[in-house]
Amino acid sequence: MPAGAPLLTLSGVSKHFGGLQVINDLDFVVHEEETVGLIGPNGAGKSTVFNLITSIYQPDRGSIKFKGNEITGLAPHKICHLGISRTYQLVRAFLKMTVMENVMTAAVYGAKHLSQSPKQRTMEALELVELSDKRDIKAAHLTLSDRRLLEIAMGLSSMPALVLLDEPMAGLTEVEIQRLLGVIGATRDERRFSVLWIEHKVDAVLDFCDRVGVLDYGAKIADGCPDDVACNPKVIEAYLGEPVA
Amino acid sequence: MGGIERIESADVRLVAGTKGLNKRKLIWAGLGVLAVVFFGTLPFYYDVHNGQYGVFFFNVFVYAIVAQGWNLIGGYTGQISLGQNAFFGIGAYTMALLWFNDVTKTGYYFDPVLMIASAVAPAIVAVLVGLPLLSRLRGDYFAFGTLGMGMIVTVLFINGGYFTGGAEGRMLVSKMPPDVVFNLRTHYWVAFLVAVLVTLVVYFLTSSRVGLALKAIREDEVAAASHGVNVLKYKVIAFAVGASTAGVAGSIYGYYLLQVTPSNVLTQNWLFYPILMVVLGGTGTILGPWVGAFLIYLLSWYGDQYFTGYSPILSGVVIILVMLFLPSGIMGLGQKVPDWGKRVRGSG
Repeated sequence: MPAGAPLLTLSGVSKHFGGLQVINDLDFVVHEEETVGLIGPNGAGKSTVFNLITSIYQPDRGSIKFKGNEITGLAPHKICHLGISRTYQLVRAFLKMTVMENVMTAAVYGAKHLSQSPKQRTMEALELVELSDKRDIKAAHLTLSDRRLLEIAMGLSSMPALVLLDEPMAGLTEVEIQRLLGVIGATRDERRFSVLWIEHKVDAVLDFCDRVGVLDYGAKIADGCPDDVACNPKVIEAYLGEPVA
Repeated sequence: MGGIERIESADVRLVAGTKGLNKRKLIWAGLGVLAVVFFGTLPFYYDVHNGQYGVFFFNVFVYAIVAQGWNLIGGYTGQISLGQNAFFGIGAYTMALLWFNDVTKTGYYFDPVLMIASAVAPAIVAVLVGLPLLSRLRGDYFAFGTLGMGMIVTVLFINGGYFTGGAEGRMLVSKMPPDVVFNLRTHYWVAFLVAVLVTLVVYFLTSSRVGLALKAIREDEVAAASHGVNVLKYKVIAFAVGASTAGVAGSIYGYYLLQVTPSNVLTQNWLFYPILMVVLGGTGTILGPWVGAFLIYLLSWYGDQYFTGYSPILSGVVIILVMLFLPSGIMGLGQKVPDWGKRVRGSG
């Protein structure tokens, strides 16, 4: 897929917690209609990147631009209004609310001035993730995989330009992973949004993404098409350790 | 009380907009209207001024108003405010001081302007206090922040000198218009009307789009923000509406006592009893505060008669039992019934 104009640009972003440098001078770009994977070993700082983009943390240095506008330090809800939606590694649905109410909340507050009514967008998002028939069930009673789909539906209902997926496949069975991949692939092709995908399961990302970035100790060690990244000695080293002499 | 709790689930589905539930909603709306008609016309066939149940229900209504306000901020939005007595007191004092100093010059008894002012003043305080507290403090820390605010307000009114009347407060008896005879019937009706209005406001607020934001904040603040909810804005709205309901209740109570002092309108009774009522009735349900207000006040009413001096122990025991066996309140108990019904219907 040919890459369009840059949608999200991180330049020189750094973040530390106490003495721990979590993100170190990170440059990263996501283009329009591009699916980008972000992989790396445990503690490489992948989720922190998401928390910086969505303003849950403020970067120490560097700038984050979305559609050419500076979004560094903007309130989290404003970042959502601009068209960035995200999911969480540990699903954060509103457990005591029904599936419908969950998605309605995101549809009503996630975006303003859209031609479609929030209800239409809710129904459509539920249709896309195939949760329509479970819309009156409370989120607390859903399975983990349905909750992940619910969170994706919540993100979709605000018609985002960029979807951030934080380890959507963690804890799912093979069948559930296939279903999730199918849903994400189909909606991406229909809605034409960009995806930035953090994942631990490297093979899924390498199959699914146009481009893959690799983080290790908060620094980007590789960035390119999946095949090149998979063969990159630095990446292999980050995952498997240094080669023996 | 068998199925009052279903109102809550019907309310949930109002947003979901599914079919087949209008019937149940109609039944509950009908029962609600019946209850309103019964309590609204009670003074016509029962002497509420001389009969003891007039005072009883008057107090239940005042507590129900404060409890409903706390339900909005604590039950629906999940922000535990421990400052409701301050708002109750500010409301009572707003009415008393404006009346005492003849600011409106109308000389009415139950002056609507004063009652509106006693709703607006606490809301302004709530916004001013809420902005820093709600943006900086979460959970328990917010609760302690509001507790501190309540203490500050109490001390300010005690030491208010001539302006507030200090510890003796303000006597309002002399301000009674000469042609008005004190009759509890008026107080009963005003308290009942306001309690019903506040319940309707909380109902429509929580079953509207605003309610989605409030519940989302209660469930997960971070997720709510990342789905586009302006968390601070909606928390402050809920805090201010909760404060102004407490303020109106304060003014109604002030009209009843005709003397407003720190020890009767700023007492922590107006903080802990309403919370107890909401928790017993069911937090985040529209009828929970009513059920709780009725039961808790009933308990302290008869407790005072039969165990004079020890009745707070009864309330304490009740709250321990509720926390142990009914953590989601009486309404939560019934919540299981519609769920069960749904499953049966689903399989059939």
